Amino acid sequence: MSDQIFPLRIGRVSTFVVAVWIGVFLVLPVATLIVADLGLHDVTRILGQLSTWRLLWFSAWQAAVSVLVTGLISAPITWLIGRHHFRGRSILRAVTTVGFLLPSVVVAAGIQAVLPSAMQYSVPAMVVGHAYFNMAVMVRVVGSRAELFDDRIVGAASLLGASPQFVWRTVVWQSVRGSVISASVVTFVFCFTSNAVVRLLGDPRRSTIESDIARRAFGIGDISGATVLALLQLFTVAAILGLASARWAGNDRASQGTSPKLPGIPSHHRTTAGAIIVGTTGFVVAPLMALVWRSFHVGETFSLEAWRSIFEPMFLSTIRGTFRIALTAGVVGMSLCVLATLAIVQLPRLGRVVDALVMLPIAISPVTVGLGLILTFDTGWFDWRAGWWLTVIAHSVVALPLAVRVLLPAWRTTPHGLHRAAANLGAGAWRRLVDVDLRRMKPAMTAACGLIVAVSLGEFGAASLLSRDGAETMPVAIARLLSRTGDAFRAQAFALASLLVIVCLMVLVTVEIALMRGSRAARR
Amino acid sequence: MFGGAALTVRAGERLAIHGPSGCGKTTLLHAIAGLIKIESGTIHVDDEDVTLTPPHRRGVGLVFQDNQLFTHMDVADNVSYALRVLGMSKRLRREAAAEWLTRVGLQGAADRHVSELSGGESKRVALARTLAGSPSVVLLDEPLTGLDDQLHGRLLADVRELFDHLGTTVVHVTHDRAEGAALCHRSVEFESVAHHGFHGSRPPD
Repeated sequence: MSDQIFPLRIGRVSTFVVAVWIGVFLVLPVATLIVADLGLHDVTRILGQLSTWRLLWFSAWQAAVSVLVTGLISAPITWLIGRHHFRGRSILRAVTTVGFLLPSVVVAAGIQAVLPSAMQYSVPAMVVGHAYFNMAVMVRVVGSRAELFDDRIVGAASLLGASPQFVWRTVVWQSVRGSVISASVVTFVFCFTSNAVVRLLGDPRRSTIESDIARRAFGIGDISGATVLALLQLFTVAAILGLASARWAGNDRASQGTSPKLPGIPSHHRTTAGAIIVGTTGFVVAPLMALVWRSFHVGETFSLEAWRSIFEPMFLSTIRGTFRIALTAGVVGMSLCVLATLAIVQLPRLGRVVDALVMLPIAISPVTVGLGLILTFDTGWFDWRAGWWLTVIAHSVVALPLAVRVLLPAWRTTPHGLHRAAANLGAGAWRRLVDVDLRRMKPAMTAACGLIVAVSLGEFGAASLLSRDGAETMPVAIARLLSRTGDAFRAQAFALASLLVIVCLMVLVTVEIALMRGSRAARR
Repeated sequence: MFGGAALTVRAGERLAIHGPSGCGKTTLLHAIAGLIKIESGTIHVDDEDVTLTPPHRRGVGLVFQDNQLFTHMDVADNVSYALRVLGMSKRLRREAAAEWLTRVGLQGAADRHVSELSGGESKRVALARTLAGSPSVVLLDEPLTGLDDQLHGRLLADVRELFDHLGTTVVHVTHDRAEGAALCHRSVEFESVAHHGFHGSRPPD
């Protein structure tokens, strides 16, 4: 006897649509990059230059230092959130996530606004930017793992004669090691492929591979050089992820458990905890406050001029265009996300292929996606670059991995029995999909849609290549204004960035509320 | 799995199927409802072969052992779900739901969320939800399991009265012989069905 509740046809249709979308708008552009504009001489030309290897070396070591600094900055708050229960804990955790979800251009502009002038445009400034951006990864990944750690095992080890150092090394570290490594690898990849933070905060004489791809493609028109670098980056990231997964896979699986009840903060740790909360909140909030403060000042003088100017027709069309792209990307990306998740949940084998497909954009940087899209759809009978929808397509692809990761756990919690009940009450396959899955999934879908909108609002890499003059997105406009000389331009950049912060925070609060509702519904 | 056994239930008859845990009682009900595909044999409802008919077109209602209420809908939406599938308007659905809730003794519960219901109330809602779709046959999968004695007795009496009134054809799976005897006209023993078929009284003519 076999279950006949899930007709596989819906899953297969979903797989087809997702595969076509990813194939046409991600794989084909990258393949076009390789096939159309690349000869062996380009590869030897770029790989034969010492500067290419310097780029790779700089990208790698700044990423390694950024991981270390992110770890050091995140460790106290991760310990506090991961090992203690206290009032405001979930708010504090949401605060630490803000940096990750805000547009990288905005984060960079905010940090630029607080840094002393001696530190502007330097490698340390860039590293601080990366730490700000990636703190959420450490707190979420390591903190969630630390929550599962049961203190009683430390007592058990001590009773067996182990010293505190020995217990730390053999018990505590072993239980969080996997998550620390995962978070470090993810942070390393993000910093290795960083673009906006490098361009806005870093030393202008030094580039990462990603920022050099953009420079070559956009600045000097060396498309084949940019392609070789994009491939070099793609292979390096794939190698890092492959190596990490082969070397450290299963680290967490070995020690999974149910979450024990967390203790409150002991009285002798209250001062330390207070200092950590104030320090972390200050680290997150100060750049955003500075952003707003600086938007009201031209030079040292208080002025509303920047805010007034961003609502003039030129900027207003930028703002409208950005929202139009973000909202459309939200709808398109959400539809793709639902189809992909459906295929992953319904089809055991093909679902794994779809899962791998939707994760592809993590390994392929937005700049590479943008470059590939231009080369594929801006030639011959296509002239899509003139249309804003190419940016929508890029954003729907770039945000897909994150959105699917939000929707997938929620979908997997749908009790199979509800499908049986609906079928028994007369609901066909599509009706069950709508009534049981999609209706239950509403909070998670709202959250996923919100995340796509937030990603699209702040996405810089692909948009910087796809936006044309006069139709640029807000992050591209911010970066352009920041690169110009003059206090008035900087104030305009800060005003636009402040506006983007306000909108993104509103979207993110919606996402958090939706996720909270979703987890409450799942507990019912 | 059922070893060539044949089982016939007459229209309007209530049949109890007894048997120990794990002998396949629930599997049998799920096969009749079309939730699982059978490898051999046939299933007929109202003299029509429904073996290959998908579950949503069989007209067979099932009250699940664990109710399987839709947690993302309120009580009225749960009860009237089958009517919604048929395309009935919201107003008529709410009226029908209110009527069915009254019949199962839950008047005024329409707007409550299913997570607020007690065990006995959930059972009543599950029963109303199944009956609201007017199925040809109602399958009951240990519907009164897990209730305390007082509640069990009260619900059993209510369900019997309701079925007497409606004249519904019922297949009732239970390990509780007294419950089967109280609710049904006839019972069969499922113990050795895997090898020897059903044992029990013949269906009435």
